[in-house]
Amino acid sequence: MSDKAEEFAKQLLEKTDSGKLQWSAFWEGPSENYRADLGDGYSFSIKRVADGDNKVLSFWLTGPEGIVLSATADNLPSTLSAIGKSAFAGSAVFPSGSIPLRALMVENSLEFTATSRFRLFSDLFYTARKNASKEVQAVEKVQELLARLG
Amino acid sequence: MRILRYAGRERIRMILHDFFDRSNSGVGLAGLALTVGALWQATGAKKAATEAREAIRQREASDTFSELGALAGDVVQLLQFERSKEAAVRARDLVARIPRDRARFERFLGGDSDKLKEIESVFQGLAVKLSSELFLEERGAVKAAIAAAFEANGELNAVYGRLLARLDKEDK
Repeated sequence: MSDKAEEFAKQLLEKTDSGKLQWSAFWEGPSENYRADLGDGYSFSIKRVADGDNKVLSFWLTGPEGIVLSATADNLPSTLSAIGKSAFAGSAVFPSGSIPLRALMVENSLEFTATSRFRLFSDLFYTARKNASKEVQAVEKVQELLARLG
Repeated sequence: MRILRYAGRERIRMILHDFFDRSNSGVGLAGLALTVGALWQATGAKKAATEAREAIRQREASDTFSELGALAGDVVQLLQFERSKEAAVRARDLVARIPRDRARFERFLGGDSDKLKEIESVFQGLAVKLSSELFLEERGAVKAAIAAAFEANGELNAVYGRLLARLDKEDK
């Protein structure tokens, strides 16, 4: 399911970059939340909960009947240490140059998945934030123009 | 009879004189040979000690640049995960270590000394930017920082590779 979420996130990124998608900002307590409405009751949301350098990003698709799919990515020390432990175990168990290809592939894929998903969701989050702030600026500008009309 | 005895004494004295003269020469020659031998051995030992010291220095240089490469790799990964404080600490470590290690192992570095100055300035720039709270709060900034760190990491590893190649060549 998370592969599908990543595929959607990539598409949303492209469509937002090309100006075809609008995001709106929502704040829920300590989290920063952005939503893009697609119509027919479907919307995508990206949320970030940050505490210092620790960040958890959640991405989900909501349909008319509720959440259809969701995925998360984080940069918590536990995630990073899992990558570090895997790399360390690989080199400690097997002498240099004799690490089985399968072990290397598992280790690399774990690191690649964690890094690429975090980067993708984070890029989408920053893009949504920038897009939503443009929307906020536009609304403020229109309010200002209307106020001038008296 | 007295004359003969005197001649005999003189003869013995001369024999002894010659004996001591020759033995002195022999001892002198043996001493010279021993001195030359000792000098030769000392020169050989000194050469061996110098070679051993050089081998250790080469090993130290290789280990040092391997560590710098690993540290730069950490900066890349921490930037990818937006852990700016830890990335800043590692970047500052590199800024402190690169000039020190460059000066220490200058003679093994060949033309890469200037390249290291460029790498150092990239990490210095990153360290300064990372000290700002909001630096990694924008997609473009994160992307640029990761790209810069990736490139500097690549350059640093290339310096390490060229250093190993030079050391291999010297070994041969």
